[in-house]
Amino acid sequence: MVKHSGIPYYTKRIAKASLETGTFAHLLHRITGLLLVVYLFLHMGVISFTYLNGQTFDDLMATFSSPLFLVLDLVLFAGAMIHGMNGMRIMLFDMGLFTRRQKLIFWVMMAIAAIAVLAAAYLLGTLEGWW
Amino acid sequence: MRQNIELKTSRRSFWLWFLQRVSSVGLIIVLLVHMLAWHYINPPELTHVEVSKRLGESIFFATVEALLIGFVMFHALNGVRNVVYDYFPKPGTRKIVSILLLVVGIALFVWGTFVLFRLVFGG
Repeated sequence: MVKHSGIPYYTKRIAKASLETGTFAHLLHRITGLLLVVYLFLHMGVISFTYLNGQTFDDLMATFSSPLFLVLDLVLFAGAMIHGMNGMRIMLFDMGLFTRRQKLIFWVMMAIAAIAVLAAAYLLGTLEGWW
Repeated sequence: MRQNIELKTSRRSFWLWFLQRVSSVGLIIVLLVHMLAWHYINPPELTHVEVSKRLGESIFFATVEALLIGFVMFHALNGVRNVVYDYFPKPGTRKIVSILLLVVGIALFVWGTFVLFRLVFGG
């Protein structure tokens, strides 16, 4: 009875829905999720392997403390916040809460994420003496 | 027989769906503890010596990290599985991918916790 949801079905659904809020949220969740997986693998690989050699680890940490990587940390934080806040939105719907306000809730969650990222950027800049 | 397989699949789907929620809540909590313990409350200098010292001080730090690896590994790889299931309808492909992700997940969890606890107990 249950048919597998194959490629045609899936792409057709996306095309039909154009880029409404829900589809946009879905794609955003997917893209940030996959980027976080890539980061996870790099993070665990690089740290666990260099950790076996003290000097390499110290050099690496010095590199990761450079301004370029600190800005990348902000990008990572933004990705995690978007994924996390949107994940909370999904769980609200799982519990049957706010389902009639799903578009509004999406933008509320994204606003919270944006505020958190701006606050983190401000904090980072203050600690690093950028302004 | 066919009904049995469908029942098994839907039961598995439910548990994976449920564990994805559990691990997400776990991740938020453990990530917060991780950030506080390593970067905000009395943070160690990020050098091999200092980080090793912190890990050796108490089993708490390595336990938090191990929990973090556990939650994040399940959440991330089950997420990848969900994406793959959306685009690849063939049961054979799905099975191979599922097994591959399971093996990779367990291997990385074991490797990560091994590196952590080796430092806790010295060596």
